[in-house]
Amino acid sequence: MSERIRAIIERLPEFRTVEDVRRFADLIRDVYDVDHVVYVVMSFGGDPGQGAYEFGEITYRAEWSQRYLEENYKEVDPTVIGAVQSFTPLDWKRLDWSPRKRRNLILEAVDAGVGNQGYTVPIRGPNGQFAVLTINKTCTDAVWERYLAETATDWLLVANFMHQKVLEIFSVDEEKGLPALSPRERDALAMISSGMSRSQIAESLKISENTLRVYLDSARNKLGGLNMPHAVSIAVRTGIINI
Amino acid sequence: MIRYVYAHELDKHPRLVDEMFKDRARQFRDRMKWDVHVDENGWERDQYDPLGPLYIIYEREDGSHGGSGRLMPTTGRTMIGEHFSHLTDGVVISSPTIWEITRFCVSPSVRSAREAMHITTSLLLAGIDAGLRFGVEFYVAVFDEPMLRVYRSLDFAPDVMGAAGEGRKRICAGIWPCTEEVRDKMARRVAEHEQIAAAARELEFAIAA
Repeated sequence: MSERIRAIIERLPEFRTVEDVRRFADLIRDVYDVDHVVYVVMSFGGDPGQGAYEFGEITYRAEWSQRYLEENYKEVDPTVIGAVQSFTPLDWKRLDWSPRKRRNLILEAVDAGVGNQGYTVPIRGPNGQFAVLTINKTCTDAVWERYLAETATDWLLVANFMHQKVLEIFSVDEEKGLPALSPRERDALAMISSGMSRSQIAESLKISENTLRVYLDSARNKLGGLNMPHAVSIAVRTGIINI
Repeated sequence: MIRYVYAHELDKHPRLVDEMFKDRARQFRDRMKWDVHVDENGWERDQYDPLGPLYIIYEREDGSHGGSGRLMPTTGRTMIGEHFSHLTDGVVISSPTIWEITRFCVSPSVRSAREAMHITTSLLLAGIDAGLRFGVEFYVAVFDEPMLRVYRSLDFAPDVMGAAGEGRKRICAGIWPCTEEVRDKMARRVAEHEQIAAAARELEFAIAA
């Protein structure tokens, strides 16, 4: 786990309200040294969005966000079109900017303070939930390539944390009740909470350490835990495990 | 050569795609006797193909389909979670940094064992290259047991989470770490590893055309 991810996770518990989502976006911007952070929920699930954003936090200058909306640039923007088409993150540099409208869009955006390099991570949840986290940064191709190679795993995690945080704030998952964990996941969590080491747990469950890691990571993700201690505390609080 | 093809771009490669879905029918229905659906075109397509996966396709020099696999994130619906959780102790694997690979097949039209091995290795390397590019930490997959020998012979043995079934129908669920180290090991076996790496870097270029 990277130092940057740790810095994000430590601060996450303090974000509790809709207003805090902006502070979370600012934190990501500062920790990762990017120019801007955009998080937009296209759909909270159920009704497929009707083309309007359901929620968003954007660190851009207000004039640029306004102009983007007024001009309906999302119809032109290959980062949006691409995110709809693909589950993989998108490196802006690898997108097709050759059509005139797209070229004009990126030129205008950079003029308005948007970084020339960007990365857009699509996030999909059950029942058609769909959101994107975008970051952008002003730098050369060479710097950007190194930067992305270093941070690619972080962006998968940060996008997921942001999304889970927003779902929590909007209580989207509440009616679903407790996540379904298998007995195996509950055993592994209980053992972690009792202070056993991973190699001890793997041995006693007769599974490999990689398998244990995949099981724990799945349990953490389903519980909405930011890291293992957080996942364990949620599991204990909700009675999924007893200690 | 390796081609990465997003679901929405399949129609740009009509021959490869036609052969891929037909070869899947031959592989999974005819050879492995899995209970899969084959449509009137002879295509084996399942409920995951419409969910926007990323395909890795090996195209032979004559333009035919040599083999392929399909990548999906485990935060969405997965085959291993919906059909094979009995192989993973009932755990439904779900994490932003774990991807699933499914419908991995080498075309039955590939006659030489040497070429089949080359295609297998190239596809695996291509999966690792794409995973590394996007920060994936593990791959999970369900495969038939004889493949275990193949993976071992390539020094690419997974951790087996579980297995079930008898004889030819015995299947396993495995995990592979997706690391630079694994990548380098596989790249040494594939002469065209630079083409694959370049294709992985250029990956989303055709998007939103």
